[in-house]
Amino acid sequence: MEQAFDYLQLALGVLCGVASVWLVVQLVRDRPPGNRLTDLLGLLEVGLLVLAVLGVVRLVTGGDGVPAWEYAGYLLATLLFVPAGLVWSAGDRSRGGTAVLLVAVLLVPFMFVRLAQIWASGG
Amino acid sequence: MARPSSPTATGWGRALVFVYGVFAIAATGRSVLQLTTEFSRAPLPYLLSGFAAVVYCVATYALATGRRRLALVTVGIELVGVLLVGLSSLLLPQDYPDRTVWSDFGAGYGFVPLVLPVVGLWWVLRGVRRA
Repeated sequence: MEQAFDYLQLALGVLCGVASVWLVVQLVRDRPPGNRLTDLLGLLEVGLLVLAVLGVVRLVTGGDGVPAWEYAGYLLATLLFVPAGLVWSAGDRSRGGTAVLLVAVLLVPFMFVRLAQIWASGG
Repeated sequence: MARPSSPTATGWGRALVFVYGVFAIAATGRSVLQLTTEFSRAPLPYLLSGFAAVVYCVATYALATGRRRLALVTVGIELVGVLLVGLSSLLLPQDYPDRTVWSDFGAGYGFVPLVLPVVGLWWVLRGVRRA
């Protein structure tokens, strides 16, 4: 279970990297993100959902000493960035909207780091 | 989204509002957790966290709906807050047994809390000149 969490997190981190490079390219070209990029963000979100489930299982089965509410809160918050970014960016198809998605995608790995820090604080 | 587009929430302002929204939610979540579970441990920083959370929420609302004056006031308070708390947390660390968003000029958040109000003020004032 621990390994599944770590591997999935790593894969999602790579996915975030790919998506952010792609978004930067679209920003520079001044084009809105296309369907394929949106699909990639959807895939990322599905992965994050699975990660959240694994994270809760991990918390319940072996999270002694880990601040549970804080950890669960961060897991939940990580799920919100991409959907919120998609909704908010839909209101502006200019570079600003693409920049919103870039911020949303870059925040996800930052949350991974915070999650690891919170986990370590209880281990 | 039937929301009318407002000058402070279009173009790059779109991204600025999003960052503000993230900080509003993050600060509110952290503050609720701190105030409800361990308030007595560090009352001053936790009250400051709560205050910061309110300021971020109002600033987000003001920027998203194009209320420039409200945006100027809240973003201004934010700038003063991050400077005062940043300075006093360095000079009087004993008064800060736990961190706030604004401690050490927001170093725990990659100094974004310090940069954000400057960018916010610039963005709002730039719009005023153009309008």
